[in-house]
Amino acid sequence: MITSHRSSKDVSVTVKLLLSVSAIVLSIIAVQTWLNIFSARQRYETEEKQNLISIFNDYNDEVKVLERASAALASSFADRSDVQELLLAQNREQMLELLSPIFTTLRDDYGIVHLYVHQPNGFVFVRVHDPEQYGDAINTYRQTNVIALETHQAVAGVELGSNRLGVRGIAPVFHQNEFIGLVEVGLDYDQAFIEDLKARNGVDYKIWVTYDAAAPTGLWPRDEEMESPSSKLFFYASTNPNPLPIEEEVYLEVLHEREPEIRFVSDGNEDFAVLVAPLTGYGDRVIGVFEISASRMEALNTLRRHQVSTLVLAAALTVLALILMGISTERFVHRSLRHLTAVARRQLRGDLKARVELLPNDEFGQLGHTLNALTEELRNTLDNQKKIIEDLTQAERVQSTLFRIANAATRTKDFKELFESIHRYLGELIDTTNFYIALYEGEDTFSFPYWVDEYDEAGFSPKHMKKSLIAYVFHTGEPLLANENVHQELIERGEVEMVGTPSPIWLGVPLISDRGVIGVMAVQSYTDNSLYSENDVEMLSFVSDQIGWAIERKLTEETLRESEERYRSIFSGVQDAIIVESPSGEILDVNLGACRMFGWSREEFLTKTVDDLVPQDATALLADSPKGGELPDRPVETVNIRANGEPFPVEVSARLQTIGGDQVMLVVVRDITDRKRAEEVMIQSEKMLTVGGLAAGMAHEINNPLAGILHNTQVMRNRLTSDLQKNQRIAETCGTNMQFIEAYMHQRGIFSMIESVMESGQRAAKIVENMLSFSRKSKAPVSSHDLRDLLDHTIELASSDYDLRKKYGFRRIDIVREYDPTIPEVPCERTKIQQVFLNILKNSAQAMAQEKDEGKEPLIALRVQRDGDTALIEIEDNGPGMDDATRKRVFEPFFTTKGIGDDTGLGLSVSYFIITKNHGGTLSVESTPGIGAKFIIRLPLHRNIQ
Amino acid sequence: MKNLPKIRVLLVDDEAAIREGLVEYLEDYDFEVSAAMNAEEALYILAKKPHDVAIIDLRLSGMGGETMILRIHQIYPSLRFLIHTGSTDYRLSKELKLIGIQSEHVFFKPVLDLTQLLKGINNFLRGKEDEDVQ
Repeated sequence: MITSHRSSKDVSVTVKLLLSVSAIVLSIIAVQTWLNIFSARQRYETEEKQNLISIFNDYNDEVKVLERASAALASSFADRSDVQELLLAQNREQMLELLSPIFTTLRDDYGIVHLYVHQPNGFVFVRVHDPEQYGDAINTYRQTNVIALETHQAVAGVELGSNRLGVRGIAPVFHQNEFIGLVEVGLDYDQAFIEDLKARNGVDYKIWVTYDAAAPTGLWPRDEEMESPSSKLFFYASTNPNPLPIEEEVYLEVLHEREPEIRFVSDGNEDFAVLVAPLTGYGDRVIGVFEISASRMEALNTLRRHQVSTLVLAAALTVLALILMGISTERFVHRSLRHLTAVARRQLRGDLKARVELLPNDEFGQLGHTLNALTEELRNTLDNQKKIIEDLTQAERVQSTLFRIANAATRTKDFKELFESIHRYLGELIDTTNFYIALYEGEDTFSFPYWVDEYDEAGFSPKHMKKSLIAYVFHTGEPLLANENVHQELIERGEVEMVGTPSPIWLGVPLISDRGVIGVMAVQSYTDNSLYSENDVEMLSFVSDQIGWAIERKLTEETLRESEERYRSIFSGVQDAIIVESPSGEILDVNLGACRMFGWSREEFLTKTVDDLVPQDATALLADSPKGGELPDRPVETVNIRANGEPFPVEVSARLQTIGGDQVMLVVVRDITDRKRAEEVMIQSEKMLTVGGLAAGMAHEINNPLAGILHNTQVMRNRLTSDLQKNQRIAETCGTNMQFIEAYMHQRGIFSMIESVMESGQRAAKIVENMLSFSRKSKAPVSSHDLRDLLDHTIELASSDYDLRKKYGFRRIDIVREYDPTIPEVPCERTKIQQVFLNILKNSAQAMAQEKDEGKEPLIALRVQRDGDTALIEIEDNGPGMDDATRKRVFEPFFTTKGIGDDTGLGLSVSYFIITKNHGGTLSVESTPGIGAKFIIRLPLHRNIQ
Repeated sequence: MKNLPKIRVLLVDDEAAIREGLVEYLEDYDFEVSAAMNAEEALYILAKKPHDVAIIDLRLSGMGGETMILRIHQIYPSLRFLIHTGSTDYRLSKELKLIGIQSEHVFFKPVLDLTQLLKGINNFLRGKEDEDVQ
């Protein structure tokens, strides 16, 4: 019974065959399914990691914002003149009165928790948030305070306090450039802060603090409801009290390595992706651990769905394979079966190269083909999967590098540190022996902020590189792997030229930010031309985006810092007064410039109206300014009055503005005292030029008639004395003699009359001589002199001058000398300059002799100092001074306040011309009536000596 | 005592009061004084009689004083000059310096002490005597 024999034997073989083949098929399906599930899991985890990193970056940004806000707030307090004055006066009560309401508002609106004012020695002057406590030193454990005290600069950072963790901003307080203390503002970094973050991201935050960092502050665990993951840490704040099963080692490693770690964990109910990061405080100190945990529910559900569908597919495949095999074993051939079995066994042992070689042209042969094909497929699949796993590992490493670069962008202090970090991280992926970063500076010029090379040295100064590989990559915006062939081809096409030491392989990628291509990053080798592959190109391109972003971020950070500083300095440097007033003229607010200009404090200003800033008699001046609420479209010149009652010229412009729904007037006041003074000097010198020319012209004409008078008078005198024999002879021919004539002349007073004529003529001659000097051209001085000597000599001259001594009591005057010992010699005419000094001293002495205040001790101060290219000489008296009208005319010829005949009124005008025309200098006078007068002489230090 | 010939002085000034005053003054000291009010007159006087010293005002109508001095010097090189001027900031020109006129020969109007002018003339004469001795 062939059939039964066959069938009984066939059944067992078929079953065996079926079993062995299905084992292979099932294992193929199982492996493939597992690989599919594994790679999906990897992909999802990578996505979750990226998500955590971006949340972590957000958190870092948030802390930076808090730091800037706290520093800005502190500075705004420190800049207030009232704060400065109260701190200077050590007035704690008023300081509290001033700051308490502001603090309350800021606390309710912005979450300020602290407001301190510190003494310059670091002791607490006042705690606005806790007024009863003061006088203690907190700079013993607060690094921010220590640094702010040392540097006198604004400081901000995260720091532990005695009972909380906070962001502190500290600003120095100055009064007249002297450091007088600190203002410190603290912002909460606490439950509220992380709750706020949670509301935004939906992830949980936990903060632990290290015992080490807390020890000096006296901050101890307050809340024991959450256990700590390590004995080094204690719980500080959390948005979710449930602990996560993460090993202590992870936290210790984060604390030690200062780099974030990511873990996937389950608390029994739920799965989480957790990022554990160091909590970095001010001064780059690690003060605790910061944990971000995100639920994996959604990710895992998606993954699970994927797994289920994969398994269903695998099951279907299995069933199909079993059916196929059942069919094929029906057509069993013994020899083929043995062979097939043997092959299958070998394959089972893992020899995937084994193939069915006996392939008859029947269904069994097809089964053999099928098995071979399956084996081939299995081999390919395994190879592919192996590659996928390798790729995934690579991707994982790239991902981790990306993450570290992102972290470095926020963590590093400057570009150098950032580039060093990038170099180190990339070194773990590819060979970076020769590595550089080139940034585009415009016009085909690149700077090399980071450069490591075996052969070439790159300076940090930008280089013009029009036809380099760098420029090529920059302009194409595409990565380039250039071996010698590619390089040669580019040279032949004229795209590039040889720059630097030639390298057999060069790999460059563009650095791209939001602004486009900003530079190029390149690696190269001088020895191994197969060092880099297309794989590396892909990897480097992938990382380069992140690096471009990191550089851009650093750039923005620095630009932001610079612009912040610039705006601050502009704002505090505004010289003009800015006054905000209501339509009815009440002053609502003023800037620092206004306080400086008018001399009122801000508080005083707020009790005033616009009328208080304008002198009574200035209303007339304002009369022609537009009325009826109409504002002038250009600045109006008028007079304002300072706190001390002194009027001063100003230029006022005003603008209507709506602030918070109210109409206010924004008034800008510019002090134009200096401009007015300069105008005055110009008018003065023009006037003096005219007068001088006129006087000189007159003098010439007067000299001739004067000579006629004086010469003939001398002849007359000669002829009336007996000294000349000729006189005697002629007298005798007239029937008389000289003795009679002389006696007659004496008795009639003729001789003294002649003397009077002579004296008057001589005086006129002297005046004319002075007037002539007005038009005398400046000529190069003959030698240089020490002005201090000249002044001292002039004082001696003045002391021995009869008039000065007797009439004006010059010797009573106290002379105070303030000479700069380093003043160089000044080219000048010695006698002329002494004449000027004497004229001014005489003027002062005469003025002081008219002093009505008996108690005032007469005093003249002499100052000589260097002011740039000029020597500055001041002669200041404490006499009665002069009013504005006198001051403006004081140098005019013949202008005198003294009685006629007392003086010619030419002394100061002669002095004026000596200084301005002969010496190319300036002479001016300042005076406050009742206080004194100050003559100011400037002489150029550098003139060609004849 | 030998009767020495009188020293001849020529005065040139266009202002009569000055001219006449000085003539009177110098005559009192035994000088023979001629006076001219302009260059033409002066040249005419010099042509008639040789002079020893000329006192010249610089600002004259017609030919200016400086040109006149240079012209006269060409014709009478031994004549000595004193300058009498109304401008106080007068400075000798190079040409005048070259013919031997120095700042001590310049007198500014008004001369407050006329004996200085006498001294100026006498200094010339002493120089002349020295020359004669040599």
